[in-house]
Amino acid sequence: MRTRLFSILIAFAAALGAQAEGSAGYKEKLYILSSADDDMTVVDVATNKIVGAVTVGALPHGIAAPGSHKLLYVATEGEEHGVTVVDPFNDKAIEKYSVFGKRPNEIDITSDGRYLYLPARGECHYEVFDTVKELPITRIPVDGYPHNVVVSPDDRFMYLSAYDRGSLSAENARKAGECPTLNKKIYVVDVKTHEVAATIDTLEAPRPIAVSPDGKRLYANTDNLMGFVTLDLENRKLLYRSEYVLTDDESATPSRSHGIGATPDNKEVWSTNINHGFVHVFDVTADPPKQIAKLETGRTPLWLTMTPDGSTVYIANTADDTISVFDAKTKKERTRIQLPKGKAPKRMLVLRIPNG
Amino acid sequence: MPADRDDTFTEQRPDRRRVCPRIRRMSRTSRGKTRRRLLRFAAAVMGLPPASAQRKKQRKESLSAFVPLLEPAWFSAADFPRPWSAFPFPARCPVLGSAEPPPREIRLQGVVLRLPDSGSEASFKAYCLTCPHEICQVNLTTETKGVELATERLPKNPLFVCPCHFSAFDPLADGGRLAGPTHRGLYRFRLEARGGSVAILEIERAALV
Repeated sequence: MRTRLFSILIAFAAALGAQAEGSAGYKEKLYILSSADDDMTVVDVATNKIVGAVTVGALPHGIAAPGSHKLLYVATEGEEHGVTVVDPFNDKAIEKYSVFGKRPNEIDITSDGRYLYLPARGECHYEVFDTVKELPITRIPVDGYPHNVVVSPDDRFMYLSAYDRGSLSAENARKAGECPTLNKKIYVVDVKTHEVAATIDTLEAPRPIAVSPDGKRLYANTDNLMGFVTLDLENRKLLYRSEYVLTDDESATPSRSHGIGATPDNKEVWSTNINHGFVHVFDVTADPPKQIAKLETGRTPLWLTMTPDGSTVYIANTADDTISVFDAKTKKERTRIQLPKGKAPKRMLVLRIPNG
Repeated sequence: MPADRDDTFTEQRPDRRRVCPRIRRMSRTSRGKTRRRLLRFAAAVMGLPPASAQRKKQRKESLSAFVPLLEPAWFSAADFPRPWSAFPFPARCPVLGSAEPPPREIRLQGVVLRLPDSGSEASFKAYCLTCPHEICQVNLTTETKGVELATERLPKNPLFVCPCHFSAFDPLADGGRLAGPTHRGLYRFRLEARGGSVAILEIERAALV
């Protein structure tokens, strides 16, 4: 009797959940690129269960969606050197473009879905793809290795983050098929002209970047910094260099910060620490930003993303093929999603897909 | 004019050099000795270690490709019952240039593994798990699809693969680079396997640069 009552309660709760989701007018799905494979895993955000996989091409490296969330673009670094377009309603690849330079990395797109910016890592430039003309329309040469790009919330600027060869000699970089120049700045590109409007110094080679939801600040992981720098985008200057708070034991072990995100309320920045297996949370309402939490993740947390409402933070633990799911408010790990072995999850994105 | 001073100009006087080259060499040597003695005396007065000892030490350090660990790691050979048995270990290494005791410390993760037997005795190798490319931690794995996709080669044995950018290293080839963006192979440890034990003693200097 008790079991039956329990089952009824569960069914009732599930129905309520479905109704809530339906009444919200959307369904949220998390897309996780398998950086060592040729597909991406699809997770239902409501349940944190894997609901499918989409084959997109070898070594997917970049993921972006326009503001409508009705399409998904995935850059593949493998043999296809292209971009796959995915229909998120049915989770199927619907188009493939193979017109890009070598080794496309992390991409971003304007919210109207018109201009896709794509770092061609093997070519030392970024490419701008017009999705209406279905053609690359211009190239933006940069110093360093084209690697990441993020669009401003008002669509006016693209911020390009190219890292560099570091201590590797220019000759050895060339031999390895990499760009020989050094770079320690963020490029600010005007989306109207697709030309560089300014650069902002980052002290060291920039890595993953995140723009604050109000568009006023840019946060960047950099080489040789366990932490991140804060850039003032209005005055285009470096504001702060924030280091993770670590114990002496932790500091003795080399690591790297690689994976950063700003919460939609403009209050926190979450940033990963790959060899110690942490995500560090900073209060960015304080000047300078102040670390308020250090949370354990899985092995080699290399990327993070958030739900659009900022309630959930997903960390991709590349070395153990898991995703840590954190409650942003309580800073507790809700669950850990185990992916099939060998997927090496990295870039991720949550899509809020309209019903119907 | 003293003979040794005269000899400093022998290069301009080939006739004299031809006549008595041995005397010239001896004189120059004895003059150098006097200078060294003076310098040594001055250094002793100032409380400095002898220059020659410093030079010797520096030369030895710069020539040696390996640096002793602050604390060797020990294993029993019996812990490795079969080929590819592997154990990770934390390696306490000195920060280069921090000579004053106690030297500052950098901790690197290592792994010691038993290779497939080539003779009657088991052979061991120890590698540093820090990827030379971007200091991510490599894994010893048979999950090498990423390597296959990137290189179109099917690995025949377990490899060290970096989860960050898929540099791949061959444990059977001294940790050498197989694929990926790394510019070199894995950093190595020097070990001694003797009398049923395996001692990890030194780390490749380049790992600490």
